[in-house]
Amino acid sequence: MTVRSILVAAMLLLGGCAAVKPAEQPITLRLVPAAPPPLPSLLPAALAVAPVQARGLAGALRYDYVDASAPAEIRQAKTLFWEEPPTRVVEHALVGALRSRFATVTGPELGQPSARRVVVELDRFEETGAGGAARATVAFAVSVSGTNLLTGGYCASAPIDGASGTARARAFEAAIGAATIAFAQDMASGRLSTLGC
Amino acid sequence: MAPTADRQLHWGIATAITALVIILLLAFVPDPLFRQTLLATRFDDVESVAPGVAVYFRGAEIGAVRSVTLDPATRLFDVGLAVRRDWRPSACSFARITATNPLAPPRVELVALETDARACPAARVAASCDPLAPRRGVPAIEGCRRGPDLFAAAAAAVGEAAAVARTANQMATQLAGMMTAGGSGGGTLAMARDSMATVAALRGISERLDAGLLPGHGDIALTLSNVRRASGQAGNFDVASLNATMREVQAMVAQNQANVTGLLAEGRTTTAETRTLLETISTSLATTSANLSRASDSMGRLTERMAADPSYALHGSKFVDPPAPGAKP
Repeated sequence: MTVRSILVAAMLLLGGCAAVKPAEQPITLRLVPAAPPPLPSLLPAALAVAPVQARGLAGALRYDYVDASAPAEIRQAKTLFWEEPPTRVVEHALVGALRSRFATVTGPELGQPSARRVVVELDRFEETGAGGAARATVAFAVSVSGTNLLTGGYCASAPIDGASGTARARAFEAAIGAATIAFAQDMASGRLSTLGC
Repeated sequence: MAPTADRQLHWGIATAITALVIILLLAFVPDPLFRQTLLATRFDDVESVAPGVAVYFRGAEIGAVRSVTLDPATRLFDVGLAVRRDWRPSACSFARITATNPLAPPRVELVALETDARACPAARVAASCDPLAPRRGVPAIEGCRRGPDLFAAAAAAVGEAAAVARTANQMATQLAGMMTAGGSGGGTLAMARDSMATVAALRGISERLDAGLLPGHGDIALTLSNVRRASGQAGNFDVASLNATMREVQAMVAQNQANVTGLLAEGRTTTAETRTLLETISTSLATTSANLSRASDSMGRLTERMAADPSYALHGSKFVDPPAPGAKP
């Protein structure tokens, strides 16, 4: 067997390996945080939720995580993506949570003027402690304009039970629900708080 | 009777010459078997379009560009297309230069809309074709003006946003002056309505910009333009100055927003409708500001990455999935 034959065989083998290697399959995660049921008596105030803004990578479609061994480094997943930007998901969840307490709540799609406007900035939307005790963490800062300016911050986290995309999505849904419901309760009481994680 | 040696030689030479002629015909005559027909069209911009560039119809390759010549009288390019003989144009057909994605080279696409000739102009506009007059005297098909690529569109939108923001600023200043001087309700209301329309236009532009430059949407085109610029092949865009203009627009919007908020806080509104209009303007300006901020950040991020690594557009970033919970001690 000549050197040329060996080279040709090696090239064919390499080409074959490249052709056989499967493509990366992106996994798109859908988040549907449950809205709490409306209370029997709703507060009469009218609220308008402004488009939620995001800090840094919190608004990206690519899944963010912080490895337990490097807590100051935000990493981005290779194959995990959100179906909708996290800002939109939080926006929907906020409107849903506020509607359980207030009679008139409009989302940003209507763009209606309102005396009380809820302005939210999403600070964190990431998996923390990845590889260890992983948790889905959601945090946002909120300001409510009106006669009295209210400001606050909310953070909630939920344990991630498994490595699957579904387990991760469920944990994020729980965290979003906890943070937005806490905010809606505070809004109803007229006093915002600053909850850390 | 066996052929003589001379006769064999003559036949051999004749066969060789015939074979050579056939080979030359097949090699150098563009369509030796007459399987194609020639169409003429016109384009205003033929960057990367040369003989051999593929011609597509509804996703199928049906021919190639045969020739590109400049018409000195019209300053347009006459482009000859060789397409399959069985392709027939509809009553409303046109040719345009497209690309499957911003990284792919351009190709010529033939479009045949299934509408009659009367409805054709409107259908062509709906299909984003601004037609150029076809050549006379040859089987011709209308060519469309070449649209700007995403980056050029972004540059135009930034310029547009700057102009509209300046108008909005002037209007807001005028409005503030009228309201401070206790101007008439009707005039103030009309001015507030005009301002609202201007601000709505600005918001629309900012949304377009934001969507065009959002990571994962229009950024590939932008980075590619940077690569081209770095390699000196094409493009006259200065991303940094474009971004500076965008930040100026954002500052103007912020100033407007402060003015309107100030007017609302002072309660110097003549009618409830004016107040409602001002509130809407304020909301719209907040959204515009956020859109511009995101677009500017996206552009800045891309510029930084490109500056650090010009091949970023080709190899992208390296991502790794998160480990399973509890995988590490």
